[in-house]
Amino acid sequence: MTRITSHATAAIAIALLVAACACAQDMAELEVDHALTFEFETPHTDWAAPYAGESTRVLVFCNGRGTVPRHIVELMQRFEVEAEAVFWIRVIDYGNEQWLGGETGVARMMQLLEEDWDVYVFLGEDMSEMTAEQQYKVLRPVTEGAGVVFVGSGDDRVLKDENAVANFGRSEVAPAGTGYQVGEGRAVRMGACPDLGYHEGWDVEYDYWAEGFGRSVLWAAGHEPQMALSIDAGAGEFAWDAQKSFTLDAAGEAAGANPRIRMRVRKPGGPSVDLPERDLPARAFTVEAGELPAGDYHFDAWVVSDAGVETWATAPFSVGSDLTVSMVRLDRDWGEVGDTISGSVSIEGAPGAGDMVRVGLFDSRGRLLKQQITPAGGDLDFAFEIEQWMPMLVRVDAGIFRNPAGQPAQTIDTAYEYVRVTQRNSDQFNFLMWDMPSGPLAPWAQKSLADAAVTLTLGRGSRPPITLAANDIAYVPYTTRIMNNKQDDGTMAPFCWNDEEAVSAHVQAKAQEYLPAREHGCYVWSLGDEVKTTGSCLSPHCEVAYREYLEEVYGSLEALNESWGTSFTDWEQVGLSKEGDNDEANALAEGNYPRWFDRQAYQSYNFVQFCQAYDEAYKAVDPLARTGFEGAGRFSQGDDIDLIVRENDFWSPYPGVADEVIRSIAPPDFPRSNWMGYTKDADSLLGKYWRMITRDMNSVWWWRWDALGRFHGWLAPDLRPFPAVQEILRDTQVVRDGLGDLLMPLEIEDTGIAVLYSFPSQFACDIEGGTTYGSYESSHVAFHEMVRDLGYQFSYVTDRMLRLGEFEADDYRLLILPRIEALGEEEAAIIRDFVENGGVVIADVRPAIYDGHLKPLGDGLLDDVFGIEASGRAEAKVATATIGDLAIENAKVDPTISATTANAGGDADGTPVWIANRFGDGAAILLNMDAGSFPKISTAGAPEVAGDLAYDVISRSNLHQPPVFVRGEDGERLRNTEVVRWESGDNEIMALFRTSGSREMATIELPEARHVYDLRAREDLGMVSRISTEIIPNRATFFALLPDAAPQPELTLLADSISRGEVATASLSVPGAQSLYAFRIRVTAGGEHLEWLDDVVVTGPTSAEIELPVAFNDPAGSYQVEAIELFTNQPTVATLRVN
Amino acid sequence: MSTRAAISLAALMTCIAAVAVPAVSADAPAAIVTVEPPRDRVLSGQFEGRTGREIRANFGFGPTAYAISHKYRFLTDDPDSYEMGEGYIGMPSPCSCNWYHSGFLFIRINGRDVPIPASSVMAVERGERAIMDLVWHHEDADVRARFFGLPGEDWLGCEVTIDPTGEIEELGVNLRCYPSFFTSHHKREGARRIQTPSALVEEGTPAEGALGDHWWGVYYDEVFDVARGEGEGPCAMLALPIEGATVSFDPGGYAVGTSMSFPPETRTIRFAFWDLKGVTNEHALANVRAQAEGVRSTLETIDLTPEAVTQFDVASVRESLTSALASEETREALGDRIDEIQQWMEGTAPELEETDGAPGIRAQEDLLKSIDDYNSFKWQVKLTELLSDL
Repeated sequence: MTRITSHATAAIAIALLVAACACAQDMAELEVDHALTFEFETPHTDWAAPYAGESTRVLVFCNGRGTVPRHIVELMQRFEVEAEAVFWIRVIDYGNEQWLGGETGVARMMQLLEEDWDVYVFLGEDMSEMTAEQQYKVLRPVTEGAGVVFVGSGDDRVLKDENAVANFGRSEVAPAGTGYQVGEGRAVRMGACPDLGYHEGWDVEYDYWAEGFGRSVLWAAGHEPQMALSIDAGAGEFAWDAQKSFTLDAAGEAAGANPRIRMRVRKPGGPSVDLPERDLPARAFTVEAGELPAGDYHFDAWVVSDAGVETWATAPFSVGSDLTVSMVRLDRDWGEVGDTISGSVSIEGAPGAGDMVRVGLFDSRGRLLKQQITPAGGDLDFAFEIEQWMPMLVRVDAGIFRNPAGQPAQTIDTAYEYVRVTQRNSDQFNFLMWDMPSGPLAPWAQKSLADAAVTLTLGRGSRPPITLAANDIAYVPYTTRIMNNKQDDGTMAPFCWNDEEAVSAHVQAKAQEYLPAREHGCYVWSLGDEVKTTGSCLSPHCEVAYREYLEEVYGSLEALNESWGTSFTDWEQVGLSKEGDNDEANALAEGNYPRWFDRQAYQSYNFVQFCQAYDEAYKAVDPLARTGFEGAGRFSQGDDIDLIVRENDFWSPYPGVADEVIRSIAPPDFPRSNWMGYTKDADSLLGKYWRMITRDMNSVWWWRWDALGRFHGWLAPDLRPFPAVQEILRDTQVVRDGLGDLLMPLEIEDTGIAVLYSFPSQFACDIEGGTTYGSYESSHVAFHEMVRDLGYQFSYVTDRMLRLGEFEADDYRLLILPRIEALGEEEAAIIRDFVENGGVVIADVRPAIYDGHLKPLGDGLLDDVFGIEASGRAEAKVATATIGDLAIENAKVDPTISATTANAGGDADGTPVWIANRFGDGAAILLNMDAGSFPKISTAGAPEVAGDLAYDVISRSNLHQPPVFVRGEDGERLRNTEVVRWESGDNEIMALFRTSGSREMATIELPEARHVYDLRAREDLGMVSRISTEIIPNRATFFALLPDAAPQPELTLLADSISRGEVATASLSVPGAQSLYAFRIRVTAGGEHLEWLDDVVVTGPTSAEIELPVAFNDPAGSYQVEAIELFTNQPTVATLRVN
Repeated sequence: MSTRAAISLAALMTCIAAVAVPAVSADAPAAIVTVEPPRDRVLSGQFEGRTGREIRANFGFGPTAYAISHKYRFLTDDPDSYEMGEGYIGMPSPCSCNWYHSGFLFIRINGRDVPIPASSVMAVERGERAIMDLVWHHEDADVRARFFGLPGEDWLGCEVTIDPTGEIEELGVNLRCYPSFFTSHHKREGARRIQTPSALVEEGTPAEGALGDHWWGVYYDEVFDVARGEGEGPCAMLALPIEGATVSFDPGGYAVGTSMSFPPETRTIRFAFWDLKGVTNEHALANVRAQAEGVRSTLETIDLTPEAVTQFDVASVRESLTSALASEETREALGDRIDEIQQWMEGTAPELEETDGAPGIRAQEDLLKSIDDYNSFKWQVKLTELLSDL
């Protein structure tokens, strides 16, 4: 059922027709925000839909955030109600509350108040806090015959005791609260929906609350049923095996023809039995129900005619038994795969001969996964192994049943407990959501999130709600937020990061606090967002730790004295240059850069050590714990990116240049992402999403599940994904179809180009006139763009990697040194060797003029490599630089440089700007201006000669042509387009991406013909050496480039036939493949998609095993098992017989 | 849910944000402006102990979603101690650069800016025109900046009005923009340009002249040009020429300043501002050139007095109020509110009745605040009567 209200339809029309008008956009957006659609449908009873009586127009006032608005849709699903809403919200990032849309929202409300409504509903909101005009415009129609319903609220000015209605005549029409006469109209005060919590049958309990809500609304509107219907359940208590009699009496004339009566017996979390429909008798009649398991039930009945529901009634009753399952006791309510779910079941009462107990494991869909049946009596033990394929929430359900000869089994009583199966979802591409829904309808909201691709949730609580487990969503506990605030005495608040006793007590307490999260399954453990990534303090602990750090770094006091220009004779003398100067600002001011830098480096190191304390504590309770944090990642803020990646287990930095370093140096399974969700339109949001993919991230993180106003949440108030989110889901479906998982183990190719990240250079660029050349970061960004726009790719190496011997020099032909002003002798020697052995280095200004501790050097450590000498250190000279035909205005040139052995080229007021030097078998090129001065060759205005020059430099490193070349419609190099390629054996995955500019056609020239699959169009392009495609801003287009057509996969079932309750195993491989392939697994039975068996499998020539658990209560018959290959989008099918 | 009922007249007189718009018709107005409630943000770092406040007005009248914000800081522990931030009239939308979101327009009398906070920030008309007022009581003058939008137009108008309360020796208006891109913030360099009817002013080369010769200016950046795939697009300004007024341009590499000096006897200054987000430099220049004469003509002729002022009938109000208060029950229920309204009727209303033509800044401000309060009171009377009948 898909229904959208007239206002919402109008909103979409407005949005489409008058998109150019800001005024209309605002109002249209409000209509989208307020839309109450049936796009996300939930199980419900059609209590009075369709209705033989009048339909009811309802205007609801409620909080727009969270799950409260969903009550309106739930009402609309069950009753013939047309509703509009006006939302009250708390403004994002501010404490203010207001009507959604501010004054525009108020204007919208006032327009709605001019319309005719049958009922006004205040869902938890206080009418008396509206303006007098707004209140008047609600109450005046009520006094004239409309209705008002207060749910979880009230108004004593309106709901006067003397006007309470004492007698409604017929109980089935009475509102689920107190009814009042208000002038000519009616009012109801009813309780808020109780927070039912997630348990078996919660949705049925809600269904009865919603029935009462609808009954109240209809009564308030004066639209109560005209026919009478009563149900007499006698005393309302029955034995489980007794015949249960219910007497129904209907009276009045049906509005429609062919009146008949429908009946149902239902227990929340238990059976729902429809009794045979019958014609409406003229007088009271009795129906009977047979054996029912013990519990609380409702008997529901409807009189329906061809006009719809004429009336309905519901009556509670209870069923009891002397024989009960008194307890299901679990040895542990959680377990890892391979652990055992065990415990015992206690039976009270005297079982009959042949009475049996079944202990079953059920999933949240009610599928019986495993069972153990034993004769009833006493305490019964059970044990089940936790299998890899099990969902994160398993219900251990014990039922005692009788099996009379020749009759179906009769359940007498049941009881259950939940068990969480710890899953971390760490072996898949993930989508993470900030925060989670709460309130009575949270389970539906969580279900909608899961349907909309959410696989992880980050939250502040230590106990993830069970709804996460029910939807197989792993957790990211936000365990703390590391800040570096100080106490008055200069020590860290609340304790020094090196106060081992305090730190140990703190982190262990944290680990204990978050045990429930660990039991649920933590993808990663978060130390907070927007944390401070550096820190030290003035405590004695820190003083000692600082000395130890310096000893480790320098190795000897002599080396430290040499660096600092000091004459310490004992390590005990080593400390801050000025008492209380935690940041060594004094050293910086005095020009003692090593002493200043060492303190900054220590602060970065100290932060990471503090993180490690948490990591160790969390690993003690969860050996698979991955600890890290979110945010930061700016070169300019002193983050030691290499150290953070090396020592932490995950990082989701701010989007920026650090992403390039992390993707280069982190292991493939290192969880990484950026946050997104800070705009509302699909295009800009998709730009963020696809940037994460093209920066090799293995998850996407969204802030936050619900938001209105400044940002939009993932879900709208009616719990459908917002339209922009739906567009995101469509555009990125290929990621969930296997691309995300396929890319996870792959690395972006580097085309033989490395870029050096140097931690000390981040600081060096800010001293001695360094800032006049621009920033460290801008130089890196300029080189990135230069390399990328020519079709090349790069990866980062770090100064620490050089020191630790991790630099694989043979893998690279070209090493770029952006503003590498500080370099240790070891690192310099490695670079020198690299060039001597045939490599090429390119640097911009001031290479290696400081040592690795920022000690100024007389001669740069790489001066011989570049064939230059400097007359000192000076601020940038801003001048017009010319290199051949290229003129660069406002170039920031180092005026101190002259060539020694190098060939000096180019000129900027007498200073060479293009200096090339042969060195050994290689070459060194110095662009004697900051790279940011060089024309941005991705932009339309940059002269092509700049691109030619950049290409010439890169080609000197024998890298030959770019692996692919992208031309625009004019045949020229297409600018502003990234080409990102991953190598996968003999296959290649390629993405084309831009975040600005416009759509335009492009031709991609490949070095040789390849069999190409277009993953956006899902099209097999065949064997081609040119690809014609449209570049779409903010939307990456992926291609798979194969040496030949994708090989035929093999899908084999180990057994063609199984019984229900067994696990089928399929083997999937791609014989002869030299690469990995991704498949999405889909299983259907009788045309029904068995979505619980959906999976993504990445495999190659080696078989991957796919387990297909078939529950005891799954359908029998023929199962079609499809493995749909990502590139070809073609299925390979196997047929499984399920008996 | 915090209180959302109409605030009292006394509170209104001191409250900075108020709403005084005519009732909304069932049809969506062609031009709207809404003033959001003040948003407070506790500041940290160098502004520790301060709270930043922003009152934002959102316009909707044409293809560009303009917003004007009034910003200032106050001591968290002493909310009556105010500090100016980067400015007090910002344009945060359609983009934060161009006319600077935290302060793009500065009104200076005798060398001093208008005081913060503004006495009132009000949406005063919507429908055929969207108008919002900011009013200050400077020690030498009452000052009002009246921003307005006309249906279908891509520019936002502004009228600055001065009612002297002391001697005015200097009168100036300064503008600040960051054309197309926050260059230095992103460690980038651009090439700022200002094209006026008679000159091209380039970055690093300040220029000045008569306002009559430079009565409009397109502020753009040759590097950050949408045509090159960079930047947001240019912004522009048009000032209605006044005899004797001068203008100077200071196109720095980051901020671009424009300073205008007006004869002290000037009482009304009118502007049009464009934020040409998403427009190439070439198209922006062509657009402003093409529109300039027409916009100038509009600025010369338009009467911006809000309809709520021109159509306000004090006698009618007095009559309906007297009628509404006839009920003893209502009098009892509304108590002090009745006294407040009566005081207003006795104090402000006669002055309005005696005024010939548009009332002055202070009188209009009082009236516009009071109209809202009167309307609120009218509904309170009706609501009270309704409830008492139940």
